[in-house]
Amino acid sequence: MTPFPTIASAAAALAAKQVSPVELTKYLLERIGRLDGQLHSFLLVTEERALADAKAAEARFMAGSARGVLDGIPIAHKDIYGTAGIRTTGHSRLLEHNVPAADAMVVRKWAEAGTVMLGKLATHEFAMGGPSFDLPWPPARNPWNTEHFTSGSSSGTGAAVAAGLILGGTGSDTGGSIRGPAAFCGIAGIKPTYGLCSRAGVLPLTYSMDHTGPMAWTVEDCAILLQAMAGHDPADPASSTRAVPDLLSGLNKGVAGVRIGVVRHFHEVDNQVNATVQKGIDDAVEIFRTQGASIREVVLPSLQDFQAAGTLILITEAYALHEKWLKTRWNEYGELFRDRVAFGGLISGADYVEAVRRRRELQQAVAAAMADVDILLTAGAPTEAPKIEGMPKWSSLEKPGFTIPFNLTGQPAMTICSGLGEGGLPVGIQVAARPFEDALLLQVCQAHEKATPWRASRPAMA
Amino acid sequence: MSEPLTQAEFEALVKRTGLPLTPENVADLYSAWPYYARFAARLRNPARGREAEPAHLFRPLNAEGV
Repeated sequence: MTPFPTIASAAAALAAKQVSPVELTKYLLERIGRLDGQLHSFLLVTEERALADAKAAEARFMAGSARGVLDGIPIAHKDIYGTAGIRTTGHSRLLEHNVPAADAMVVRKWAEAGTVMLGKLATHEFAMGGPSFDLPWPPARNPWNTEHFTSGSSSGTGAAVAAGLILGGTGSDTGGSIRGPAAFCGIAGIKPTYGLCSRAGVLPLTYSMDHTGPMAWTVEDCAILLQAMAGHDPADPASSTRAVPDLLSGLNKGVAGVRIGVVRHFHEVDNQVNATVQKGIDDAVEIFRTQGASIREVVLPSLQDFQAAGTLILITEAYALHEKWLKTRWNEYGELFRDRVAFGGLISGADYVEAVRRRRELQQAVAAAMADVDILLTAGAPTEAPKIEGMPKWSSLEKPGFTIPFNLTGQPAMTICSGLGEGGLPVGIQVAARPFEDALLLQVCQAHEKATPWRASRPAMA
Repeated sequence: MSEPLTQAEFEALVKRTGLPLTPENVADLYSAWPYYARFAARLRNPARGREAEPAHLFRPLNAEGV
């Protein structure tokens, strides 16, 4: 593991000139070369670009004009983020040779902050479903045990962060694609409030549910990365015009006085979690209570209601996006993506409208339930990561996920590590806040992280 | 879509999309169709009044597009 395992610690070392951006970048490039053959977390390593970025950052440090905490920090982008002059594939044969002319807004913002781009990371085809074994590149594997799944679709980011190949990266989240890999890979991942971060230049999946966000080893690192990606962008129709608050303002403040609602029926009834996940939730409740938070149970509509509305909206909007290619280039898609999205062509207009009407009801129900709580707590995933081989094709439809409710409501939600379960694989809790209370969400998650030992454990391969 | 479909009805629905599916593709999709039919039925229960608008926000823009 790098002697500077987090962005915060690396930034301090860079500022103190204990290490140079070039040294740090070369160190991580060596790790990628040595370890990623087992993980497949990268679709493309941009070594030349990384070294150029690092040398530029080094020159700024030497000149005393470093740009801030992210200057010289090595990161990578999920391969749905457009990168000017650098292949952006969506992990799909259809875009195998796609080279955008411009950076996505978030890519540009991180570059302007001085980050060093190490490459493009694996996803599932067009950020949906997975794992697929019939695409031009293999799926990413879990560094805690490479026979196991990473969840998805920000699978490469989850694997690369956990294995210490990058210090942070971008993810995207339409139904849980940041929070799922964060849970299975034992890292931190935040889906910010809808509209807080631009999606312009990022390959869309479902316009009304797509979110961009950061993934990193710690909550503090996610806060640092999120601060640098948030902000209004006229090129994104959903972009909020609100001023971005100081997202690090709540760090190290604990949770005294915070009102936390536990959505027990989500993880005890609607989709019962295993004992390790349940223990992680119970431990979190005790940690928060001990630190002075008030705890009560909150009842929301069932996960099945969120699943029904979310799934139909997701596949219908995705189908509209892909209809032309599905009709003309069907065999170029992977089986999993095309078969799931094909159902979007079978959903009636009335079904879609009913889903969007239900969405408003669900949003109002959650808002009402949060009238006297600040935070919601439930599971990030029901179990540890399953084996990557032999996953049933329609398994995602059988039980409702824990993450899609907050894609429908647009409120911020974060998954953090809450323990190690069977086979040493991690499990995670999920914490959500009201819309635009991302700073409070980060505060609460960091309070949990600091009170638990899980940041001291890395995958053995790392 | 909330009513169960026979395989023949499902095949007719698929044909209407214009997707180039093989009979094997159609049979595979039909096996998963009950999930989606249940989702669609669930969305209609309980029924809602006509005043219940969709969540999508329509915001008129001024001459400057703001």
